[in-house]
Amino acid sequence: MTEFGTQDFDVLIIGAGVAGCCTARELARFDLRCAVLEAGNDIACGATRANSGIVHAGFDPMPGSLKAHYNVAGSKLYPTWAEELGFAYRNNGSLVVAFTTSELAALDELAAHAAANGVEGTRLLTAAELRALEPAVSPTALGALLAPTGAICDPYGVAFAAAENAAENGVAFLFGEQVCGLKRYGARGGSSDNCDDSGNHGSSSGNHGGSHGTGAHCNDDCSDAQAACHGGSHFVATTTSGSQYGARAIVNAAGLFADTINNLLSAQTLDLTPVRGEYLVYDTPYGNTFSHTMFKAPGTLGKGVLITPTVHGNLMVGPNAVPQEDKRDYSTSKDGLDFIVEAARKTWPAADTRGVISNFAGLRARGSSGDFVIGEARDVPGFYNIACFESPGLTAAPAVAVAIASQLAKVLGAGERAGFNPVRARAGAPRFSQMSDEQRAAAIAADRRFGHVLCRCCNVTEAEVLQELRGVLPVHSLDAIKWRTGAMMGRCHAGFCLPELVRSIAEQAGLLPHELDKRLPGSRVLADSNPEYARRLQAASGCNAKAGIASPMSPLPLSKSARPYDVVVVGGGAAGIAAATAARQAGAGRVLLVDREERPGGILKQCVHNGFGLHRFKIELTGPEYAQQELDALEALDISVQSSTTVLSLDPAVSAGTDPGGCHRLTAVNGSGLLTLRARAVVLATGSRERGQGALGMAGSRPSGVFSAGSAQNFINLQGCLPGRRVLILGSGDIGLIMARRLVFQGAQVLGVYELMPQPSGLRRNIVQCLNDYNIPLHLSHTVTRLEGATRLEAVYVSQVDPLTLAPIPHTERRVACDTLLLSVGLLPENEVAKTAGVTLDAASGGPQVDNFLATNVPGIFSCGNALQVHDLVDHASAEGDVAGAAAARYAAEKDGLPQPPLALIPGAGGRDNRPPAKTVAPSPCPANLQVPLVPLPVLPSDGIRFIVPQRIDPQTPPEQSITLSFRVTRSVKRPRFTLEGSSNTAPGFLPIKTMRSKVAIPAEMIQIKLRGSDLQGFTSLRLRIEQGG
Amino acid sequence: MQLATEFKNFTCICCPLGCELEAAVNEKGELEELSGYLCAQGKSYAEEESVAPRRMICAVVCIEGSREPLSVKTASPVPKERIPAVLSAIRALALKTPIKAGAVLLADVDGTGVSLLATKTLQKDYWSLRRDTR
Repeated sequence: MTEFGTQDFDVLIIGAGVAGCCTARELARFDLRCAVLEAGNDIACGATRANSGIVHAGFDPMPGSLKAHYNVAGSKLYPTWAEELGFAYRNNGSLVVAFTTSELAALDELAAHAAANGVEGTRLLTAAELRALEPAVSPTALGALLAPTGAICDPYGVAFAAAENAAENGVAFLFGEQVCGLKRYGARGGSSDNCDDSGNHGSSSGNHGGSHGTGAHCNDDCSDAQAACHGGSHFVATTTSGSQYGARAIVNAAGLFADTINNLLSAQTLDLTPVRGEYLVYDTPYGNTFSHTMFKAPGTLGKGVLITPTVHGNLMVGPNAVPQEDKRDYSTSKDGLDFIVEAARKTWPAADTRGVISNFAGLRARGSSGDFVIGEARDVPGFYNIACFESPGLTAAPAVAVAIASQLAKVLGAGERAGFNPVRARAGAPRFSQMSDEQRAAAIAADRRFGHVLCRCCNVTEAEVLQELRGVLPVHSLDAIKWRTGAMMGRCHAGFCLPELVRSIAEQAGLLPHELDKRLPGSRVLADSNPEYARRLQAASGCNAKAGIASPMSPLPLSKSARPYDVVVVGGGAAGIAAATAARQAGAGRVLLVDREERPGGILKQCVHNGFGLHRFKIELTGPEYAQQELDALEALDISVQSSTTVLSLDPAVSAGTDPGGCHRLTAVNGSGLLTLRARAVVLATGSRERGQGALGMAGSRPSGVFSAGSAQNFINLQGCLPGRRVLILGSGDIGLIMARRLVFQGAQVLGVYELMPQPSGLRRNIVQCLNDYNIPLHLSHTVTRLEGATRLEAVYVSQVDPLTLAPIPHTERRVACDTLLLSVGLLPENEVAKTAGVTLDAASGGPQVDNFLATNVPGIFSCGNALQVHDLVDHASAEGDVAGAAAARYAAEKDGLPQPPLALIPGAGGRDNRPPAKTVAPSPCPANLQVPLVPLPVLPSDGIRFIVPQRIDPQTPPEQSITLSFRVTRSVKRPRFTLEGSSNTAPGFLPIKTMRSKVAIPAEMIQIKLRGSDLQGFTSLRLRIEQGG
Repeated sequence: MQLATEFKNFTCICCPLGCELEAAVNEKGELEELSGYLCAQGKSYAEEESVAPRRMICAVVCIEGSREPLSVKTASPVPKERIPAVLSAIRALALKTPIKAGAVLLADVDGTGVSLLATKTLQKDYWSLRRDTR
């Protein structure tokens, strides 16, 4: 009965979730032609993608149920599967915590379930034993059940690895194929004939109680007569794309839509309810809060939420359980997210939304019986369900796959396939982020693109992205890259790396950037592409031109035992370039500037607007022009630049006992290999990152069209691509304001800027010239609370906020239709390299704690620019670079035993020292140098001042040395008076040193105070006060 | 009879105070009265902004031979009301690599008497886009 154009298979699997993928992998063991039809554009589009990622021990399901049987069987298969397929799996153990005596009793019941279900090793813990295992657990916990076989995994990773292994062994995966028609043609030729002799399979009728054999043992039940009948069955599946696929058997693994598929053929109908579960994901510093997966014992108030570490090193909290109608709506809700934080506090009293980088919702496919429906439908021979596959479906999937596949092989009369390889080709190959230095060096030697780090949060390289694009399973979305490589999963959540990733993917996949989807078909990342992309595509069609990137700065040949540099500057933005230049001018001979991008210049390259340089160059420049001025100075001094190079870590001299010269050692990668750079002094000018969406706690869906303002700026100004057409901007920071005007210039409509605070956070000039000039409204005391849109963003919901608490005011929510949301909600100093060196950070500024020479607590390591504190003006970032560079040069000279410039040569931040490079430096240490080291003077902020940089003054600062104090206030003050006070050992209390004033002080604007070393003579600590002036 | 004078309200951009300025401008376009400023800097800003507001225009334009667009600026501020015309002129540019920073792209943008300059240097980039034929 094969119809024209039908592709024939032995088995069709409907759905590429974890059940379908695992079944495909197990069917690949047999001599069967199998295909997986997936409605979505990737594997694991539904329930598999968004769940707790727990490999359950199996103490929870009711003994005798299919859930209990397959849970325990699946849990036992996981270690082997993880090994063969190479997915992330960690046997961290589970704890069920009790807080009341009735919950303690519930633990006994769970322990009894565990024993009945065959779960190994469970035992009850006392409160003390629990706390010894998990010190962060609430002191109100009375005891717990430990299940050592509990584990965690990456659900997408499990499905992906199984699918890839299946594909390697010949299973076809067809995406965008949504089955809408399914017919069975029986052995006798009639359509929809049902064999009467089928066994008693499936448990949708609720006959699972006490007899878990229905599905589990189904392969033993098959009679020869039944097999003969199956052998004659023929199914034809029709998809919405118009394709038809024939098969001798069907596996229904359609997740939330398994009822629809089942009901196309079986009279024993299924009815699935989507049950939403919402989650919060915390940043990696929270990943070790608990080592076990923490469940709460079932009690009168329900089961509560779980708290678990993830295999990616994060901490995850959730889920709630809210039945809903829509099977495609993965939106989170404010109520749901509030609930899970509140519920988590029971186990983790410190839980709040700080540290949250993302929220998401998953949908479980809940059946009416409460149990799985596994096995052949009673009335449709050859049609096998893996349905109602809610928790513990992920755990059960391998065991269900083994059972279904062996049964199908038997009834279809298939033998084992010669050459089946259960080991996935890439299993065991570590990600770049997990590699040792030696492995990294080898990987780069084999493919130089391993030396190009695209995602800095998670250290994912261009080579790994390319591998996925060339893999056996196609990539149809940005999220496929995210899930397969881990790129964009870190705290910036693509806010920083998106433009570079999109460019790289477009280039390697031969796509126009705006053809790329974020997740679902139609979830376009961008609205339009630079016409140059289309020109290149046309030019390359038919010719075999090889893609390649011209690098304007060729990498320097560097060997591992290279002579040490005097000063290595990490980061080629404004502060870094200034630091390198200043270091050379202060006498450092060997200076190296390392930058991760192809060309130095940092963020200035994309800031094409004017307004830069008024302080530093006394003329108004655009960003690229300012960068060029700085780069010209760098070039004039012949300073080496190592571009396209990412510094991964910094081993400070104090701990690097291995370094013979007592140098700092930087580990970096680029296309030429893994580099170890030795330096007497290091300046960290690593810049800042934009605060991401995750930190804002927005509920709703996860559509494309949400950008950090900086990434939108990159797309427009450096790539010529348009992010969107109807744009709403959250946050009135300067980048957002500048982008409002840029978007208008590029033809987009800017609907408004919404600001949480009662006052704008950008410069007044930008409010007037970027918003008022173009009639763009600014809504103060407003925020975005929810996103709407299944594919691309369709609308956001904005609410008024209480100016004091900053909490959204109920019932003020308003829907604003738009296709793009830009976030301009603040910058965070980037100090990942500093952390590897043990540099102490200031919680308020986000940067290292430094002295007035910008020296951190680690000798020989200096910090400047936005990595030290977020600046409003690039001129000030450059000025800090001058100080740090000169101070680093002096430190290096000291280490080298060379004559060193006197301290006063170091420019005070705020003005450039335009002297030519120091030719001869007189060894004229100031008198203080002859004394024993003194204790640094702490610089203390008082009420109303958020932080001050520097946090301490070097006691050896000479009297003529200029000193700049930079600070920000916590609230607006009109006509403020600032009083710098000092305390000394000779007099009690603080004495005024200097009083200054300004017109107004606002949190958005940094204020600087200039001092001389002589101002501070005799004091042991300093304090800055702010008062409202008269 | 008396002739009503036009009032203009705008915000001072000289410092974060953001004084609300009010200027009265007569029918000849001359400033007659100014209020709301608190300092000399604000006064001089208001004097120009009320009578002849001007803006620097910075934009980007896609050019042939480079994936990175060219950034451009007006050599000096142009009358504020000419912004749309200047942007149209920038959009209409058809340029190719190489272009050097400082190059004069238009000697007189739309009759403003102001020239348009490139603010970055762009060379041809050697990179090609090819459809994956897989």
